[in-house]
Amino acid sequence: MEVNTNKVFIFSKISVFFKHTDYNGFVHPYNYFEWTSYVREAFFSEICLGFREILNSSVKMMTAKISATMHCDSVFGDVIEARFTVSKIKKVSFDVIVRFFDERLQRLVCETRHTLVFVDSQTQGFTEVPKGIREAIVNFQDKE
Amino acid sequence: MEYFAHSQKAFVYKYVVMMSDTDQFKHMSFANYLKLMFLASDALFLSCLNEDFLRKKRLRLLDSRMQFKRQSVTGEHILIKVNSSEMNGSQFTLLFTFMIEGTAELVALGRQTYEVASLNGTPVSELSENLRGVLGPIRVEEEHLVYKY
Repeated sequence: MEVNTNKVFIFSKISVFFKHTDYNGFVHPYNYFEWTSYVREAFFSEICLGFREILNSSVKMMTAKISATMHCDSVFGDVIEARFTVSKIKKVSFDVIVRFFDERLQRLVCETRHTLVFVDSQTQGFTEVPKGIREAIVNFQDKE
Repeated sequence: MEYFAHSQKAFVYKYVVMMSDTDQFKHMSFANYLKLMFLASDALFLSCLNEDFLRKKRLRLLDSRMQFKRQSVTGEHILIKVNSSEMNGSQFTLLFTFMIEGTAELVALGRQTYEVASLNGTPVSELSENLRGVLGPIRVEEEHLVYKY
């Protein structure tokens, strides 16, 4: 039986540098998409058993869609904590939610959501979420 | 890299996928499609936002989303068609259709909603004439389109 323990994977290595800011000195929204990819890769790498073997198999992970909602603005020097959870776990897909909290503002600054699907590159069809990933994500289901 | 006004109905930005855009799976990684969406919107805004505007106001992204339909590889020519919709008060929406040049294969669909605000964050009462002049000719009714952005 799969048990959800409502854990949250915390990625706290994000600092805002000049290259992340826009003309007005605020973090450019694009960065949240890039950071989302770092956070999910860190999760898979640290939490999912056998992730490297999955990478070398015929199973490929694809992003089907992504969205971002902006809440407020971070600036140079801020430290941002990313909180990773998952939802809608299905046979061949699941959703990833990443919430970015600014430590200075003590507020949620951005939330991204994306759907990951798994495809077998040999059959060109959808395939089940790999066991190592499924066993990891069930513990990190979102409380919403 | 180049951009040009393709017709009166859409602003078109063209991009060739480079090796540096692709990852170990030989495809363009998803974050780069988002970057392209911002490049296309910047190219559109360049024609109507001057230094004076940027000193007093800002374009603030409220939300953004994208669906991925097909992967692209190094050397492929991507056309990004940009249309506007939902111009209300201080806000407007941009719709992005990513396709392969020549074959018109659909690569991705994107949507961004922006707000024009003063630097202290207060939304403006209405969009400037310059901005409306750029968004008006490429405006579409989203509910009448084939694709759901």
